[in-house]
Amino acid sequence: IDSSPFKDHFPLAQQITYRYFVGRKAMFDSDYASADEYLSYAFQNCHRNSRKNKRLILTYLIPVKMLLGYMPSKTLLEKYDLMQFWDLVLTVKDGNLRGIDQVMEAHENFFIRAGIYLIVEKLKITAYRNLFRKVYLIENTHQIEIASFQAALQLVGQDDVDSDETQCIVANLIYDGKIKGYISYQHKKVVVSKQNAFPPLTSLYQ
Amino acid sequence: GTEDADDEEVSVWEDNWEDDVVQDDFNQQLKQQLEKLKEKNKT
Repeated sequence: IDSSPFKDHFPLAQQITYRYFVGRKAMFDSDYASADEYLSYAFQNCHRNSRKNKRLILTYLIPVKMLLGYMPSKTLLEKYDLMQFWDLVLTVKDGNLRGIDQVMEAHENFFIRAGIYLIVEKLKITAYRNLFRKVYLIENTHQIEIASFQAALQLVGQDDVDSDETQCIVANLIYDGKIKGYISYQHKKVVVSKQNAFPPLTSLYQ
Repeated sequence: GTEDADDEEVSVWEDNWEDDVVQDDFNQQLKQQLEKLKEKNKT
């Protein structure tokens, strides 16, 4: 449809519906940049009186935006009665993994019915990154003990995570580009870049 | 067309939510946790 020369001639309502579904598909395909583009178009062009439809679009646009590093404002969530996401925003920002589990449990039905439970689960990766960034800021050094990250994980309820698993999480974040640095296995330390060790999430998907 | 769009909704996404100096409860707890670890390593 995108390559059709007539694609701009369809009524706006159909274009919005089309982009809503293509956006959702992109989200499930983990193509968050496209999902953002399609769902944002649908949301912005959806008639302001169609509150129900705008809310439906937001249900998918919010987790996509969050994965891309954009947090929804509280006013937006209040306006569309989507406060289920507010506690999620707060816990993800903190890197509070235990908090995320509690939010997901409390709103399990909502997330499952909307089909975004597994997408929301992916925000845990962002949470790990945010938690480790806090550790980095507190330690104020470019060489951080693996044990420090492990201690932070224990604080947020991940008591069963051992040193190896901590290293595994860090390694994945480095692979994702969410942390710039390398692991020194010999010293059991993470050596992070002197500049921009934790690049803003919004810069990763451009 | 776009005149139907809510103008006020353009800036509903915050990309600048990362603070460098935070003194909230969570950060304090984290700080204590890391200090505890250092104490333990000393002994």
